[in-house]
Amino acid sequence: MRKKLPKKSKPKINVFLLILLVAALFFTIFFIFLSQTQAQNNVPLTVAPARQELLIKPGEKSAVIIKFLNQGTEAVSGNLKVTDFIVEDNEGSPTFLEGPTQLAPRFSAASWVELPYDKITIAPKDKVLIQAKINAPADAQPGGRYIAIYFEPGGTVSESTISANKEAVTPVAIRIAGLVSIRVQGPVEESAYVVQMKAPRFLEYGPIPVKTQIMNRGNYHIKPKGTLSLLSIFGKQIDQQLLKEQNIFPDVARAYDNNLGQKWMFGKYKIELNASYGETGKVLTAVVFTWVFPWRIALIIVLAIIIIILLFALLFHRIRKREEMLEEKVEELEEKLEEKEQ
Amino acid sequence: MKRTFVFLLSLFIFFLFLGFFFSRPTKLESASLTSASATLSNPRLSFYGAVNSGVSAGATAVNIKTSGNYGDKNTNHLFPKDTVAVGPNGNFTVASIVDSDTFMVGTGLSAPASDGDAIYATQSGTLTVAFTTTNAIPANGDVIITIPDPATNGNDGAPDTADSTTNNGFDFNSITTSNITCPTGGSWSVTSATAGSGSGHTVVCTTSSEIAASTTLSIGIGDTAVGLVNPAPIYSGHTQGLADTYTISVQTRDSGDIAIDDIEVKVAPVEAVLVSATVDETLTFQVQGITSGTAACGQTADVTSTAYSIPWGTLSTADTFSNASQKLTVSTNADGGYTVKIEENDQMGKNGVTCVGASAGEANNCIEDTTCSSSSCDQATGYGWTDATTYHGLGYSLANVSGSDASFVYDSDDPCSTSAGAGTFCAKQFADQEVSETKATIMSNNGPVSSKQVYVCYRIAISATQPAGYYYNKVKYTATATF
Repeated sequence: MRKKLPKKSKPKINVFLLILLVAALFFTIFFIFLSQTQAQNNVPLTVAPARQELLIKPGEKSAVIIKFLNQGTEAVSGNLKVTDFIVEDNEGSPTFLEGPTQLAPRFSAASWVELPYDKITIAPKDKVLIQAKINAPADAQPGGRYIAIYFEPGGTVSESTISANKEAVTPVAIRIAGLVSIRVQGPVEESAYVVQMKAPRFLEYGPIPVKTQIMNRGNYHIKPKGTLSLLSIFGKQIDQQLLKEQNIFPDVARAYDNNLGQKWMFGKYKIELNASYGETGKVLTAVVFTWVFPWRIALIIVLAIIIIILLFALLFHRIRKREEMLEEKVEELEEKLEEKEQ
Repeated sequence: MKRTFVFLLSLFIFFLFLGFFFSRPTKLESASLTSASATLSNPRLSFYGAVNSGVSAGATAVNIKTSGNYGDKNTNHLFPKDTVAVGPNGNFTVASIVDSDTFMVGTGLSAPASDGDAIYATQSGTLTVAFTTTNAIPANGDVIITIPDPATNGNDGAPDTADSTTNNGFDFNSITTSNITCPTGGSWSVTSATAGSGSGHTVVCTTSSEIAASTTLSIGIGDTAVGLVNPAPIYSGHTQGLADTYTISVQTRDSGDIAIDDIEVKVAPVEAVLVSATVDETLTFQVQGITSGTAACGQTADVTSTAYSIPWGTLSTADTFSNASQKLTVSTNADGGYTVKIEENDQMGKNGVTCVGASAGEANNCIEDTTCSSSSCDQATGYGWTDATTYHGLGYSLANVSGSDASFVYDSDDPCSTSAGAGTFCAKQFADQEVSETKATIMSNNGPVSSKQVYVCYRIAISATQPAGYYYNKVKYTATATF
């Protein structure tokens, strides 16, 4: 009872199926290749929050949440790690302490942190949320502890792979980190001072560049708030700027750059820093004096005035001389007239 | 005689009727103004609560009463940065809302506030009334606007509340004729601005020339100096989030104050909605590979890089530069900005052999970090590297693509700096972590940035005596927010 297919249609179906199979295979290979290429060519990653702070008591358990986002179109796999960091320069750039010789126990807390994973894979256009558990030891001293939680994709080319390729290569690793400032509850040392407040002693034109450095000698970071004021010799406020609010790591100075005043200024000026920091509102003050005098312009004006005075004097002299000549002529004419009348 | 009497009587009745008619003319039915609207520049209801249990001088926490005849019996309609008066203390700023009946002010109160003292957060602005005349307004005619007012205290600058919108209204806030804007065109002048005491505040604008029918007119009450104070919510039957509706009357009149056209328009001040969101501080870092043939740092890339590697391939030609590059992109909303640092785990070692020291070279089966020139560059100080015959090794340079965040640029003069000069490839060594060299910052900014881009240009050159083999090291970028 089964219907027999017409004999002529069978080869056509086979050819069609073969073409379909080849096409499917081709597209599969193409897309696999494409995806591999794209994954390697462009790795955009985001960390949030980039900075965060946590208050913890000695012996307490707490946690911070950090998100790593893959903005790319391909999945990214890599290592998840935590490390201590310090700041060594006056610009606030963190330095990771990774080697055994670089340990700084005073500000270290990496050993308190427990990450949920060692390795993660982030799907394209997706994120992985990490809850880092922090267990503060019962004997933890009050003050600041500073850690970075980072995701490191790539850079995992094994030596065997490189050797197998038999070509020179420089593998590149990428690390993106979120910074966590932990404060162990308790009385912290708050001590800071102005290391430097510098302005040129003499300037031809304003504004006056002021370089300030504030050193934090406490055991927790501070964020001074205050103003830089420019005062005239009579005490009148000419300009005022807010000190940029930025964290100062313990035992490090932070640099501030400000420009006070306008282009056209004249005389002696006083630059005054008034700032406060810490929980008890400790005060930072500093004063520096500077002169601003547009001497070239002033010289031109003085010379111009001298020239004008000289020109006036010359003109006056000539007029006077001419007057005298005219008076003499008049006298002569009067004398002649008198002579004629006589 | 009789006829004359009838005639005279008829005439008398006629004139009596005529006189009555003209002495008491029938009032014309006034028409309605059209296209009328009343717009509050600030439609937010004022806040009016009361102090609960008193507040001491110097205190910053203020509790409000949760029952009683007050427009606001919770803090739902009080927002951070609102300006409040707490009893005798005026002009204090709300720092934060603690809970439904407590808020904090930014600085301690200068004087104590007693239980039941009023707490005001005044909302004021301009009321603009617009309409189109139906009939002409004759010369010396006027427009009178009547604004609802409370029965008492309607001109003291403080918001008012009552049991209903009928008994409540706007506070005139000592507005005078100088704060009124009469219509433009014609010869308009402000005749009066009168605070009411229960029957409505009135504003009158008079025209000295005729205003034609179908003329669009607009009158502003209040200005940036003095604004009409919005009422607080009525204390009975008010639902937060639903407007209290008030009726404003507009009437055109002739010179004898006879109404010509009129209309009633509604205004509906309502509680504002505090829209708040927390924006995470984020940092985005992107590494892109660059195809060979692409120009970067004044050079053309000889190899195609990926985000994860610089595949130099076989370096068969001695004393010749090979170039490659990657593009870095950074965005952050962190107010302190960001830094990107670069380092290498070691110098390039044959089959990964450790290159001990900062200048392990061919004798140690290493491709050393370049010294660039006779000036000897390192990871901190860079110099032009243009001689591949004398100075071999691995190094890098930078070029700004978008912005100026590169820590130095390839075309700077010696030593490398951020200023473009006559250089062609100002280069530095990678910071070698095998000898704990200080990691170098290659990109930074001290504020929020969007898509700042830099090319990192790798360069390598070997001598003819470089031992054959497979050399590699590992370069690492680290992107963080500035502390």
